[in-house]
Amino acid sequence: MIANIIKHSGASNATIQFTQHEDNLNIIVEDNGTGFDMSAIQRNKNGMGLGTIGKRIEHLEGNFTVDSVLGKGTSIVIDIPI
Amino acid sequence: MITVAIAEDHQALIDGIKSYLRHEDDITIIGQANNGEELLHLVRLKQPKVVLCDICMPILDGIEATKIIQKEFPHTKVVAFTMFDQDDAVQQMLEAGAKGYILKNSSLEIVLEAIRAVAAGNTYYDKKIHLPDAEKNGSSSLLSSREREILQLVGKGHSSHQIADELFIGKSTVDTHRKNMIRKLGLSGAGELLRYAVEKKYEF
Repeated sequence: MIANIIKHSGASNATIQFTQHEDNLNIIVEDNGTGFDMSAIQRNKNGMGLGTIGKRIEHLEGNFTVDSVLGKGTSIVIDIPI
Repeated sequence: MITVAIAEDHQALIDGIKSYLRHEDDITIIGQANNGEELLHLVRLKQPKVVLCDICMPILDGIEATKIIQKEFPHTKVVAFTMFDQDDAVQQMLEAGAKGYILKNSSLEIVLEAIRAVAAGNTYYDKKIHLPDAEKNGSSSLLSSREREILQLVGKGHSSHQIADELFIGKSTVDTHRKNMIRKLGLSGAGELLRYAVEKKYEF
């Protein structure tokens, strides 16, 4: 995911935040890069490396959401049960 | 005799404190104020030994009022009386010159102890608060810069939808940040986060 931000996003800033709750680990990855068209992701969930991330999170019985705005950046929120 | 002024914008709380302190032979309530400006007027007029002072008050807040009181009447001891255990609020009240800091969810016995302690020239800090020295980075460092950014907007009364639009992120991301902040700050829910954000305005 981080490699994707570095390679493709054109972001000048990216943050990764971990918060441990009682029963899950929350990870928020945000960047201020070019963002992408969310409808393209909806059409092809395996695109842009998100498919791989999705499989890994699924394996951990977690879930993730992606928010992206063209020209403004992307945020990915991941919750993994612990 | 310990003369006390109470500055607090919730009348029921003032009434409760007055009613409790009425039975104490060494304490006299010399007046009450509902905002910082009224408090200054009262202190200039009656020069109480102790001021029990809310932080979040209309017109002039407790921090500014305390600074002025300490400048004009250095012998008057201010005890901050507030809703939350916030390191930055504690820090700012102490810098303003407060000699005590107690929480509103404390018992009235604590209020009494604090008044007597500062009147005797000591300091008094509620056991529940974290003193700035104990945690030098302050509670604000618990939060990431993004969380502080969102907290600031929460404090302005913006909804998650509005915040999401302003920061160009999804509403679910804003909600997750809110949830994380509630967890980190040990708050009970969204309502407390809002109140916390409103009081945190002093930092911004």
